Amino acid sequence: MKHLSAFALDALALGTETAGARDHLVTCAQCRGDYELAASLREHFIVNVLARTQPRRSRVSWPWLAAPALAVAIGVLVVIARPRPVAQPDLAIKGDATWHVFANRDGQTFAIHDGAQLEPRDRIRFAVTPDGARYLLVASIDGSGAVSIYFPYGGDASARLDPGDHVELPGSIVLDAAPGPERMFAVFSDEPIEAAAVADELRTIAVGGADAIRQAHVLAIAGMRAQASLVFEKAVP
Amino acid sequence: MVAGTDDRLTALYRMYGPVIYSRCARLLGDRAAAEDATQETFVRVQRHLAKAPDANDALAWVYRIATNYCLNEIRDRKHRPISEAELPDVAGQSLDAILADRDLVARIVRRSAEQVRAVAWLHHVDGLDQAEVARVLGVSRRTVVNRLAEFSQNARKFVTRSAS
Repeated sequence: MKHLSAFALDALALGTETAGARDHLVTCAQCRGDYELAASLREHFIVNVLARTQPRRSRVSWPWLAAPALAVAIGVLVVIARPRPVAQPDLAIKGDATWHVFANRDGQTFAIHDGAQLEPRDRIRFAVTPDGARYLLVASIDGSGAVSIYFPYGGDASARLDPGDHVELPGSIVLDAAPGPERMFAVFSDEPIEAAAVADELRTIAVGGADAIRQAHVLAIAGMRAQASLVFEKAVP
Repeated sequence: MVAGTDDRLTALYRMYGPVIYSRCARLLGDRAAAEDATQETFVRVQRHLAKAPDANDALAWVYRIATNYCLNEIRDRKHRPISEAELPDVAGQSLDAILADRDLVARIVRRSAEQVRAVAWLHHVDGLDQAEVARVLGVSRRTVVNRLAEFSQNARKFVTRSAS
């Protein structure tokens, strides 16, 4: 059996894999092991490195080049503030939290999976199993670069979740006619996270265009407990 | 640096940083070294940002920068060629068997000339096929074939020396 190359496995993590790679991963234990090892390393980077080392748009140089001592100090704070890892691309939310997205079209309700095709005026709703997380923010970025805060709708920060194992978020969202991809993120936390910080991250993704929106699976936000992401495509019927 | 350049660099770092870190960690076998290598990779990305390809080829481009950086690190760690005494006894093994042993190939690759090092590593250690190697390194497939042939020739000499 020909195994997937290291490059093919990394492309898979970014959603740019060649045809058949994902099917191969399902049937090949060796490649799945290699993929999981790479995933654990990516997760380590996202949790422990990314948030403190990414270039800041307000600065003219990167923090680790301009002020390494400050970067280390920030890193310590981030690690302390984040006791649990964030979710990885293509994987379920860590810590047993789950996120379900449903759409309703012409009275028919169906679950949305990554890459789903939706239409303008479809209504979408969310349900979560927070696994102990107390706050949630759901936000999205679409192909036009527009950021939307879906939960709490138009809010400034994460909203406290009602107690319970399974929480259906109130209200539904009616999709507009902007075509192209729209990526949504569910950000779970123990303390409220400012929507502006999430919106800033989303706009950074949008700089890369539609493909970047399709491929960006994670947000680097301090204070997250877990996160999940899903992309859908809006097409005019 | 203009804001647009900053944004582009940030977008590339966010998108490819985790994969490149993972790549560097697997190459170097050391998380601290991998973090340094990832940063060095993106310093080089920043330097050549104007040449950054579009989304279809960006991964291969950043991958190439990271791979070359890490292979140079591996070479410089030794500061000298590996002595034959440090290599395992391969007497009697066929060239195919040698090339199937990733660990051994990795050690032979470190002894190779720079122009064949990345090609041989990507193909024999990382398992990329010739087309993938050509894509990642931005060279023609013919070049890949030639460099792999050169590497095989060197490996064969090594096998012959070990056997004698």
